[in-house]
This record gives sequence, C-alpha cells and structure tokens, in this order.
Amino acid sequence: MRHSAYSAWSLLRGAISGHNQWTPAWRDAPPKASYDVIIVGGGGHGLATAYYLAKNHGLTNVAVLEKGWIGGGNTGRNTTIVRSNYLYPESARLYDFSLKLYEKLSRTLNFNIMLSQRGLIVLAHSRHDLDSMSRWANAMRMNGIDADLLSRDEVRALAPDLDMSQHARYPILGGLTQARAGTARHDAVAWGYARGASTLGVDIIQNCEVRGFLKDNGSISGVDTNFGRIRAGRIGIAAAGHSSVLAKLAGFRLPVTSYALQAMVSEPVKPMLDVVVMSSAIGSYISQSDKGEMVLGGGLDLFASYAQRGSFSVMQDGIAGVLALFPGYSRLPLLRQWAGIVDIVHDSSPIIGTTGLGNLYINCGWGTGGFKAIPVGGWTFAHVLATGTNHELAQPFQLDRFNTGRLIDEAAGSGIAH
Amino acid sequence: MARPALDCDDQAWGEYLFFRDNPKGVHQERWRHAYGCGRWFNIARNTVTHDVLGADRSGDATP
Repeated sequence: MRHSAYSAWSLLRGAISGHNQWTPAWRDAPPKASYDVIIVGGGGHGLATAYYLAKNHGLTNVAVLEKGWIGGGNTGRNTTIVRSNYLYPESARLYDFSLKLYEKLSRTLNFNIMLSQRGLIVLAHSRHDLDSMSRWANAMRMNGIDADLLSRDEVRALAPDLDMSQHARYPILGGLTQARAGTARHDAVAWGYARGASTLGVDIIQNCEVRGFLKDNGSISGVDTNFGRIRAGRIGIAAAGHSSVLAKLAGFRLPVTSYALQAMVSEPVKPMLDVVVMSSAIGSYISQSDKGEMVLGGGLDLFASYAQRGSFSVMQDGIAGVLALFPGYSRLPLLRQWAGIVDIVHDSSPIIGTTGLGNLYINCGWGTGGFKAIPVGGWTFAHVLATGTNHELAQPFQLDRFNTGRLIDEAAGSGIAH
Repeated sequence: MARPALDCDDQAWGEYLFFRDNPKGVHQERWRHAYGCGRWFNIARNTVTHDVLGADRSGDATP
C-alpha cells in the first residue's frame, strides 16, 4: 500500500475536496505462514525495529505481532520526555544517537511527532547536589552532549512558579539543564513508525498473542500464537515489562523484575510551564503537554507487578513532591492516572542483542526510560536482527554483562531514579 | 535462594546475583513490616491481581 505524503498541499486538497481522500495510515494485516523476521511486541521499540529493518537493511518480509493494539502498552503510558543527560560514555552515545534521530524524525517519517525541545532542568537542593551536577555536566560535555549548570536565579527565570521562598520545603540552589531535551507526542511516534514500516511492506498484526516458541534443534524457528503457528528466520522480542514472560516461554532467563510505574495528568490549563522540571532528590517530575495538561510522575511502586495500576501511596508521594516545588499547582484537579509495567534491571541500562538461543534476540531493560530510546532501540535492534552481529552502539549492552560484571550503572547518573 | 560457593564460575555467580523468575502470577516474596513491628515475613502474592494468598514467618517453608 502506497501513501501519498502528508503535506500542507494534501491538507489544502482535502479542504477543497471535503477530506475524503485520506486512507488509513497503516495496514492492519492478517498473518502469513512465515516471515524472514518476526518482532514480538508492537510498541514504539518493536515498530521502530520493523521500520529500520525495512529502511536500513531492505528486509520487508517482516511481521510485528502485538497482543493488544499498537502503542497501547508503555508507549501510551509514559510522560513523553526525551533527553540524553546520561553519565557514562556508553549511555551518552546511545541516548544521544536516539535524540538526534528524534530531531529529524518528523521529516524522516513524514509524520509530525510534535518534538518540542523545550529544555529540561534537574534541580539542585543542596551543596552536594551542586557538586554532583558539576561532575555530571562535565561528563556530558566530555561526551559531546549539551549541558549547562544553572544558578538559582537562572532556574527561577526558566520556571518562575517554583517555590524559591525562604521557607521552601526543598530549597533550590541551582540546577542542570539540557536544552535539547524536551517532549514528543507518544502516539505519533508509534503511528509514524507503523505507517513508515507498513508503507515499506511490513505486516502489523494486532490482537496476536505469542503463546509459545517453535524450536528446531535448540534454535527458535517460529512462534505459536492465537492465529496459529508462524515461522520465521529470526525473532526479536521487544515486550518491555512482559519480557520475562516471553523469555520463560522460550526457555531462557533475564535479570529483569517488572514493576508498575505511574504517571498522571491534570486538567488542561493555559500555558504556564515551558520546561521539563525534575528533582532527583524528591523523585518527582513535571511538564506541561501541548494540550495544556500538567503531566507528572514519581517513582516506582516497589513490588513486582503486572497489574498496570499503581498504589495510592506512591501516587501521593509523587504529587506531594511536585506540590512542594510548585505550591501554586495545588488546586489543579487530576484528570487521569495510569501505570505501565516496566522492565527494571540492576544497572538501569538496556539489553539489546542475543539471548543464548539460536535465532532469538531481545531488546529490553529500558525500565522507566524506554520512550526516549525508541529510535535507537529500533535502529540497533534492527541491526542485530538483520546482520546477526551487534551494532557498535549496542555492544556494551549485552545480556552477558550480568555474568562478566561489566555493568553500566546509570541508576545514579540518569536524572530521575530508574 | 541458595548462595553458590564463592569459587563458582561467572555464570553461576551472575545467575545468583541478578537473574530472577519474575513470574506473571503467584510470586513468593519476603516483606518487612516497615511501618510497624519491623518483622520479616514471607508471603505468596499474585503479581497480576495483587491478592495475597498466604503468609508465614520468615524461616518457615513457603506458604
């Protein structure tokens, strides 16, 4: 199926002709008996992988299997923040590559992902925060990523609603900013990649749940689904919080625990906050969506869960943290609250590569930070699925690091705890 | 969970430190009554419904 490109001209043509020329953005496909590559999971990472398999590697006999609807898991349950303010060189390279792909993505996909590089501030509440932020900003700059330390007055100028009074519960001494960070429209990212992949010939199959893996001499040769058996040369799992469930079906283990991560939005209000504000010390963060909703979140519900809902106490902590920073927001009614099931690993870094089983690959472990990494997750996962060798950027992020001990511990260095 | 011998290979040590079953369903867990008596105890809990299926003292057999 070919699409005519979206443009001001196509909008104008629609305006004249009564908007009856629009076709579905992507094709809802029935499954074929076999594919070169099957991707299990139709979230951002799975769809981006399919797109880059077709675009970068010319592989179009590809299917994305999604047990629900595309972008309906964590891709539709995050706070849409994109950033690359990581500490270690391996992470910096990976996440900044992602942000650079995001910067061009609307044009690449011919789909407006509404990227807004409004900047992100991490607040410093103590002398020690200021010291560690200097180290963090220096590390970022050494890695070629934009970072600036902010004085107290500069923070105030960027976010005037912050409580800077004498009696503030959390005094604000300064901050760290990445000006290129910001937000993007989450479902546009999923649909943009889906449209791009579908146009290049990829089958997107919804309501298709993988219930088992087919094995030939210890290698994986296909999947068993509610639509029957589908064979494939190579299979990639991109299932975030459900990675362990699929790993168990296939017969390997992961260093992953699944937790619920909550976020929530207020009623839409007039523009009043044009940066993303985070506090690592408090564990809360907030931004304002283009619709006007205040989007806020806090920490994990720290017990294993697949329930896609969070505890009230954790929600309360997140809100209390935001209100301590922005007391003026206390009268905003909450509109929605939700939780996604995130795949937490001990070093807060992803796993992109082989599983130990022939023909089976995995992309997981992004934890609470998967949205920002969708482009690079797709790019590097497509590379290993197409070529059988790791992409240079993904080489440090292999499953065997949990045995060799070469962890990349970003828990302390990545802003919000994740 | 049984701790392997300290001279075990990297595979066994990594498995012990990091790799977990992470079941969708019944999960055997150890909790601590942090805001109360401070005692450790075991529970069997469903990770989908959050139902607690049973509890017993730390050191007893799994519920």
